[in-house]
Amino acid sequence: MVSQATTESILIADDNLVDRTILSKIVRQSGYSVVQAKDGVEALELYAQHSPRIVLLDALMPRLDGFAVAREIKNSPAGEFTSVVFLTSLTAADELASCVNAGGDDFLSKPYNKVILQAKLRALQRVQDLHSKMQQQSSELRKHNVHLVQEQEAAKAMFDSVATRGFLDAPYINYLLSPLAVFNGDVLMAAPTPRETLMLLLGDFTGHGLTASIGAMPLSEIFYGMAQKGFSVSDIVHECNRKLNSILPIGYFCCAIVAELDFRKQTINYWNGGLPPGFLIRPGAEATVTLEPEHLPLGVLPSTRISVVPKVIEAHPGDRLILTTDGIIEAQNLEGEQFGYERFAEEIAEPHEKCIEHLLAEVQEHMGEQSRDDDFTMAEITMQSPETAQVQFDSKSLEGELGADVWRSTYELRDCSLKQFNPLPMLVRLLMHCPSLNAHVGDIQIVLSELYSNALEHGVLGLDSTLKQSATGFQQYYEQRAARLESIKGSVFFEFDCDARQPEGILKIRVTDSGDGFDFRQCGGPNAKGNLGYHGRGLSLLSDLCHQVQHEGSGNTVSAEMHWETGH
Amino acid sequence: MSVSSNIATDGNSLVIQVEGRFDFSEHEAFRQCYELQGNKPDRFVVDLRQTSYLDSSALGMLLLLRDYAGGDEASVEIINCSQDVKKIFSISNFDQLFAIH
Amino acid sequence: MSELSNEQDAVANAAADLDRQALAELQDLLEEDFVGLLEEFIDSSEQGAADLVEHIELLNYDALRRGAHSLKGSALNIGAPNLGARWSALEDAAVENATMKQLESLLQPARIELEQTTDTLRKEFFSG
Repeated sequence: MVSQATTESILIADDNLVDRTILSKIVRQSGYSVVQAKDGVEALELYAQHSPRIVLLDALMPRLDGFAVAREIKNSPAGEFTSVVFLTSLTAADELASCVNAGGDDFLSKPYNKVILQAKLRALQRVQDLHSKMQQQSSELRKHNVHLVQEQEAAKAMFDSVATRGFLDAPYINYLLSPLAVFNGDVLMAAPTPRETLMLLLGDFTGHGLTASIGAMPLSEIFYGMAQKGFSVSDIVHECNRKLNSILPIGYFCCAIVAELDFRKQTINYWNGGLPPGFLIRPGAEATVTLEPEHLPLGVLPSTRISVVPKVIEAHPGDRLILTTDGIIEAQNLEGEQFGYERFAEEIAEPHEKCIEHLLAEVQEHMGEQSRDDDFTMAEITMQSPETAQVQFDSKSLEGELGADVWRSTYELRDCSLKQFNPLPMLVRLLMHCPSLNAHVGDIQIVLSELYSNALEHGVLGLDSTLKQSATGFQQYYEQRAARLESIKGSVFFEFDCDARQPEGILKIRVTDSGDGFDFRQCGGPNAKGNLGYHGRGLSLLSDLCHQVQHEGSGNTVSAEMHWETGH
Repeated sequence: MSVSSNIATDGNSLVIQVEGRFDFSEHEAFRQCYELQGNKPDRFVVDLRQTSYLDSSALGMLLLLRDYAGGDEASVEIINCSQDVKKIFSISNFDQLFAIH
Repeated sequence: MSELSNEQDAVANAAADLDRQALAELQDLLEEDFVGLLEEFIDSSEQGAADLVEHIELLNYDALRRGAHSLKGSALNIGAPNLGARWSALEDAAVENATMKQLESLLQPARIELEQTTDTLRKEFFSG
């Protein structure tokens, strides 16, 4: 019946030879081997030698009684579980209680009854089996846990390398980023841009741990990649939102503020999606400006549905920009009272040498014994003059090498690809390989996009721009555009000619469409910068950004020429 | 359990009450409240009268409910918000996605 | 009470009242070791009883209690419940720190019971 127990041994400790002999017989008949001890001391010695999983102990024995033996066995550090059964004819309740207190798992009273004893042994064996199964599972769990911790540490190393990177070492940036768990959901990034401005991103992902950190990887790639290529706050917000919306499951998002500090123009461009208001604290009596959250967090809605238009505020040298996630504000004391936004505003308003340390001390005082349950993340940036800001952008760091200064390239997009593919991001990237052009990425985007939509809509699709002048026409225009795109045939041909040698760079862009063109000579004479007298085609905007813009050929080619200082 | 739900008297709205802290620990309970309904109700009402605190994972759970209820066409109302809870909704701009009272 | 009447019965009967079924089972269990076990029981019980006399003289309650406890256990196991009850009464009296007189009055019938038990066992199971 207990067949698998044949190799198991049971320790029997009883000073009475008669009782011990009877019990040993019964136990052997049940399929166990027996180790016999005649007193408590011997019992412990034999226990150490044989490590039996079941011990049958007489309560009263010479040298060391059964209670002491049981206590010793139960406290032994070995991971295995030992069942202790007291052999007793004790009947008083307090004596039975001392057996239990000493760690006894069961009793067996004299006279021994074979049937009862064997039933008890089977029950104890089941407990043993259950226990060893649990031991096995818990050792597997421990292994898994070790593995998980290792993975988390690797992830933390990766996360930390992206969460706080770039320009955060600048002397006018102070920040606090304290991890709650192995890693937290807060990210703080800063990067200089080719415009010699400072781009900042403070983000707070939903949740903690791995889920919170997953989104941080693409976010940091996008942020640093785009910031150093000179993309604007709107572009960065748009792309971050698009990416997070497409990769994060529903319910996960990132509250974030993206801000561009322009030390030359003395402005801050910011977009706040779901973070607590930031503060711009001005020295003296001037009122503090708050950077209110006006948008949903990144990743909640598709990019077509969010506004990425940033706000602009003036910021002068000495002004302090303070950004924080909700951790500090929501820090609770034992009574559940939050530190609160008002107190936060009050504490940071006073000029303080070590504003962050001061605030952290206040928060910890408020919390008292309460353990923190969110991350404390904040950043304080003191506005600088262009000279002290030293956001010197090292264009050589871009795409590695020196980049291409003198080059020509053409690119043609045809037929259905005109419907399916937007060539502009790719073309902008191509142009950004010329380092000194990075400072002008905004202008280049506008110029390219105007040229392309002109070629596509009025050239290939043959849409009449005068339609757009009335409200009904506007609607009609876009209906036609959509309808004609469906069966689009034709091409748009780009030519680039770049020479960025000193002292002035020149970029020539020619865009030719497969459309019929028009008689641009009849539509007003050339103006100072070219022949864009004709306003209907929306190209006049370009004349502000370009050295020269003009129609060529049969009116289906527009060429634009941009000039800039190369400065090296 | 601190999340409970019942069908309102009009028979078409599911009212979900959250008591105490509304955070990640309520994730399963909250989801089951609406997913285990036999017929999908037309309207969802989240009653936060008894909610003392709400964190960003609670916002995430509300987004999941909104998605379940039909995304942009969803009718999800959040009622009886305390001042603190209202502030969280206004900072995150979730009032753009939910009718918050 | 009931113990008292048992006592009178035991004194009245020359042959001890043994649990026959228990003895049969023991015989079955121990096979050729059975007689050896009975010898051990008799020897250790007689030695144990002699020790108790000494413990009572010295009023060593702890040793008395342990000794009676041990005697009780083997009596019960061997199939001699009456003898077990005698030792048990003595064990209880030791726990309660009874007077020497009380203890002696309990020891006496226990020793008689033991004697009868060993006589009976010898008669029934010892062939030589």
